Amino acid sequence: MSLLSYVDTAMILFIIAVIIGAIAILKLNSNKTRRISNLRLYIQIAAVIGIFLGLIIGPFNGPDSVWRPLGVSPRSNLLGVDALGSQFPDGITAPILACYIPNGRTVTCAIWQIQSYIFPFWNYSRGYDVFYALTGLEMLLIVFSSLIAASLLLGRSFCGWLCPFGLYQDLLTRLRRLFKKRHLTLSKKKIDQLSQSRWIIIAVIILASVVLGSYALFGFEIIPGTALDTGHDALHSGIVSYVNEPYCLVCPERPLCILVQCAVGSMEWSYVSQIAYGPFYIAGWYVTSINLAVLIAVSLLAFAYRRFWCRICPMGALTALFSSHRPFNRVALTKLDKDREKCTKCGVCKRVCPMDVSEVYERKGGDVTASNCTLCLRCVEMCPYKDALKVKFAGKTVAASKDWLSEKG
Amino acid sequence: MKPPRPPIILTLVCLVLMGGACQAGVYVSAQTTTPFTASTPFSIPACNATIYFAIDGSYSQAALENDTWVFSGLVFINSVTLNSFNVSAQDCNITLYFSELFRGYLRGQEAGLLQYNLTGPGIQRFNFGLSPSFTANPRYRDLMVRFSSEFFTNSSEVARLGEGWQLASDGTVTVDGAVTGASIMYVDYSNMYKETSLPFYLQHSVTLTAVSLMSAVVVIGLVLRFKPGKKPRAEESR
Repeated sequence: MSLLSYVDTAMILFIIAVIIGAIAILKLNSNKTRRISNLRLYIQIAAVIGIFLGLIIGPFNGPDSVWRPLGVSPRSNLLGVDALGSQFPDGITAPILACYIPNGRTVTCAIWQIQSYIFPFWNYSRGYDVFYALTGLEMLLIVFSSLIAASLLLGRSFCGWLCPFGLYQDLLTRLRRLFKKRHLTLSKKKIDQLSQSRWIIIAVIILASVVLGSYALFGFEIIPGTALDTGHDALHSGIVSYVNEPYCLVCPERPLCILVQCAVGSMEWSYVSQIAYGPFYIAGWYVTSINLAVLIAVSLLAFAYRRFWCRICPMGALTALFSSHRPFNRVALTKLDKDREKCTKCGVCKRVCPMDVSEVYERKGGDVTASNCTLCLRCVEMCPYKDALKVKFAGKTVAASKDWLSEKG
Repeated sequence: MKPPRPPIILTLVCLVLMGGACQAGVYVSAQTTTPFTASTPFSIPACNATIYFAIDGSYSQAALENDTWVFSGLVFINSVTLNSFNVSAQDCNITLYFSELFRGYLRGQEAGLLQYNLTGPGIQRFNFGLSPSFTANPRYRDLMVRFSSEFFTNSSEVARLGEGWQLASDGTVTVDGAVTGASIMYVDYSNMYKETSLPFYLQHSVTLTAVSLMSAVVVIGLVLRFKPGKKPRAEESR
């Protein structure tokens, strides 16, 4: 296989096209209060296309797939297996909800990786039809190193600019606006409670991963029946059990990924929808009934409340933990900076924030990057005082608020 | 652009002709194959058994040795190829169907799926010609036997090793618990373990890269924070 296959060339051209498009949006957009928002929407859509390219150029593409002429997964050529070898064949760790199964493993949700490496691959360096040359412990080290590096570099801007589920919620917000309905607002207390619940969700995920993987970890089942597939000669445990990724059973992103995958024909719906076995829940292949219920609930909530899921998302919480909490916030490179001299406490930043972050308004000045802030930069865009709010990367200003009121005249 | 000179063209023509000759040589030296059809019986009279393949194909060599059919260079019309395959049966007739596993998704590994139907009670033995490591170390293999000729259905249970099937030290799978049929899925990962001969930094290159990346970001963050002449201002806001 040539080093630079046509798939790689297509990816490079895609990235160049995205950059040119982004520059065009910045240059041609005359509405100063929508410039960053439009750019963000554009980047979100481009990211989804890029991330899910593995869907149509995926490893599951058989000879009969309509997408087969496009080649194999970019993971094989560009990022995944060939680049990372059997050491880490699941793709690059990304702090976004980019589901492991359908995206072709170009990038993979860090939550999936954490669960998987806690449970099935701990001492068994091989997963279901994927070989791992490393132990689970070492793979966890890779995941957390990548996660911490990404979080320190860009903070929760992954949530605001790249996460496919963030885009889905933003589109729901736009849909609500079409109906001319105003969004609902949560009280400060409720926002704080939701924010705290993220840590409980993470704790439950890790605990459940250990409990459900007890047979693989300790040699006995804490919950009988969770070590499924005991006939698997090589493993003697439930390596392909359907409960080995507890978060994925409830993740609202997963059904969306699978539905898109079915829509483009790289997965058969009958394969997805068949009922798998399990002692205490009913699950289908990849998509569970719990997944669908959570998706419906979250969709309704995200329609009413802006970016509802991002307030409780464990992925976002992990990114926040490694970027805006001590000690990580001391070395984080991307920061939202407020100039106390220029801020007039007009409160625009608080009102326009889709995450209802109040810290930007409440704090006096300096670094105002909050745990819930997705760095969407809506506050920077809407702040009417020049340089009152700035986004800094490695100490350099990347974007700053403008005096758009007087500029408009 | 200067037009190519005649010697260059001549050289190119020679190279093309040499390539063609090499290709022709390959074909000349290739072994002859013997075709078979789905109705071709491979009988084992001493064991009262007959083996059929469900679809047409061809083989390079086939011989009955010690009541076992030994095939080499098996190629089926569904493109499945087995370099080496031994099969024997006792007191039953079996019809074998091989399919490619995961459509080439498993790269660098020997993998396959055998499904077969069975008439009459009896014993079946299969050897897929996998590496000795396949048998020696369970880390190097996936081997699943289901007592149903259909694979990936909920009705077919995976059978534990020892419950209706055995794995011999030479890699032979002996099935004695099948009633109407069975399916055997195998993946030999031993090729992948060749990486263990690499030096430490290559065996753990991804880990080292990830940790280095994180360390670099932390160091840059620290340098920027404590850069001479710059006052940290993170706590100003509280």
